Amino acid sequence: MAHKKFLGDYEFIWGPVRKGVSESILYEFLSSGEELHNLNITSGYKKRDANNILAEKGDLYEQVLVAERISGLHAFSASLSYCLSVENFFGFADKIHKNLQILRMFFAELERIRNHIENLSEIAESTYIQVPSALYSYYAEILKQLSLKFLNSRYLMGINTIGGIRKNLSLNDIESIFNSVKFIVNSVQEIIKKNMETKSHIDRLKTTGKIDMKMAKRFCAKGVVAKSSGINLDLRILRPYLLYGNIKLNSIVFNDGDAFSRYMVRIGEITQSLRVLDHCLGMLGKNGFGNASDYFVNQEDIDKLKDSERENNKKRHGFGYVESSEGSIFCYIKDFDGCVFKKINLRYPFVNNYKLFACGVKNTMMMDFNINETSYNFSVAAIDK
Amino acid sequence: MAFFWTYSGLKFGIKSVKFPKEKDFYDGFISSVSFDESKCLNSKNLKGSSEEYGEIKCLECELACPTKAINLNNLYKNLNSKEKIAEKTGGVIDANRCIFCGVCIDACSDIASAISYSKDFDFNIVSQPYADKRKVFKKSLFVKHIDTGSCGACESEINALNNPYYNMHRLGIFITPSPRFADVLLVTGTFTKRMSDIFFNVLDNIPRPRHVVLIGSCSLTGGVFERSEAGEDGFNAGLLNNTETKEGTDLNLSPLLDENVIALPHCPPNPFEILNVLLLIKNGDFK
Repeated sequence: MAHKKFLGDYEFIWGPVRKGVSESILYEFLSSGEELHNLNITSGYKKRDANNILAEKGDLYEQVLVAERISGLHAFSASLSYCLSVENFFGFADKIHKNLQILRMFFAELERIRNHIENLSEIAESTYIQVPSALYSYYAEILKQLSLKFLNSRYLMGINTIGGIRKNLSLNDIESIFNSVKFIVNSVQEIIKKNMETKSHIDRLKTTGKIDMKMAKRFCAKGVVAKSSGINLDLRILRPYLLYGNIKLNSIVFNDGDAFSRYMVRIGEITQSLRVLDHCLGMLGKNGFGNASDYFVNQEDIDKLKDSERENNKKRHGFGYVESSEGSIFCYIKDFDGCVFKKINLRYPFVNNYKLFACGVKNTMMMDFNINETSYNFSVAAIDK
Repeated sequence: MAFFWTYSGLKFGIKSVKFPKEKDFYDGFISSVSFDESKCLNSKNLKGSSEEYGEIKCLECELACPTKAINLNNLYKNLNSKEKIAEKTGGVIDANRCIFCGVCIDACSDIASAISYSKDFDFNIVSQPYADKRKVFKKSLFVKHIDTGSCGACESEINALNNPYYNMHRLGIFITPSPRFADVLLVTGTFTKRMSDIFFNVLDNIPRPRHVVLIGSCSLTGGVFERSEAGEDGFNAGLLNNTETKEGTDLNLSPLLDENVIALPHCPPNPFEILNVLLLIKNGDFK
């Protein structure tokens, strides 16, 4: 629908190839110079037809590999969502050892901390305070190096598998990871503390990109965006999966709906995730965890499940969900042909949030566009699939 | 507060690596996946065998590989010919297709442990045979990036080059927003249909001499997004489709025939690998 054009308004396009290193998406602005009157977002430039490619794969693990590469920054959450849906389909979820479920929670929180720290770095850069931005990005880099050292992947790829995880880790390894993460989070919190005193940073975030609860509800906002508008939509609390029900998590909700609220939600979640990691480590210690390989599910057991109830495969379906750093990732699967699922639908939170962004950005300042966009932390890859 | 951040930055000190002066990679760094021919169970059968390709008894790794990066027929060629294919494309493991998932390592670990992650300085970089080998850039190097359908991880790794750990600015390498100022085009993603015209438009706007670096398995072969049956239009399969030839795998560079193309595999490539390629271009060190 064409937007009303005021006298003095001009249109300009930005994208799909934009400045620096960014994903391909097209923005069409209508602005009078100071104020942004309308924004049209065109995605789909990098559509890889992931749903059909998933259906063409030869086995379930290949589908895991594709699921985690739809959006590389949310690789663990997406693959976990897919694995949970497959385990739900086979009625296998209860048979997975508690320690493997705890490890999955551990890595999911590790991914959340890394993504939030990276976003804090981007937000600091968007408000032109380069030193904290560099410090945040340094600590995010150390987290990635830690992932590579223990898990052979900087983006937590190739860890999830149907029935648990693939990487063999000892309790000492988990303790080492936790101690390093604790040090990183403490260092990041020191930077955050000083950042809060930097007026030029905080003032630019406050009231920027404000959305109210009504609008957030209308667009079914997810994750950080919803939490910053006063909506508690954390699936770890509302509908606990894995062993999140055993941990008392507080809802991190802010009511202002501006870039500052989104920033505060991320800061709150970093602290909360460290607490979850600590809790996971404690639970592993209590459960007498030795090596992850002690709890791996036998491949033959999974193969048996594949062969059982073949006649009902067409009627059955599986469902899994995970609260990623940016919101809920849902996975719905059906049509199991004995090897793979022919219908897989992975739904990322960005699909809702980017529509809300396009609407919420109207009548904001053009200068603040970058701050506003960064605070949403989109993955264009996940929107396009 | 401005003074405070300046002071904090100075107090934090220099955290950058000394690479490339020193190979000071961090603990746990992986450069490639290596294949030890001497450990492979098939080596004994294949060495000196008169039959074509000999008898391959163990196919565990080849069958397990989700991107068909392993070709054990190349092991026969490697063992029975003087010139190794490994020098060109990685031999048994085709680096352009490998996504570092480690499934082959797990498959072989209980059998012969012939496949492992390599921590050596071995980046598996392949340049086009007729790539410009002269030192063409005198001082700094300006880089333009285009995303043609990636998952975002490659972008994150390129962005990481700006953080204090790698700090590519110290080496005179900068990201530029305009193709008109660029010396190098970094390409990520599977090369989607909607991005193809835009890609060639950006490329046309980069003045010569220029280099095109294809980053990640997606931009080379499509990676995990490669279709089992190639689409009619040939999109979403990377820019370098492997075609079988008598010598092994060869690069089909039809869309980029006149360009200096460098293939940087893995999913996603480590920032050290990207930095290494940019330095090789800057210094004219491709051999």
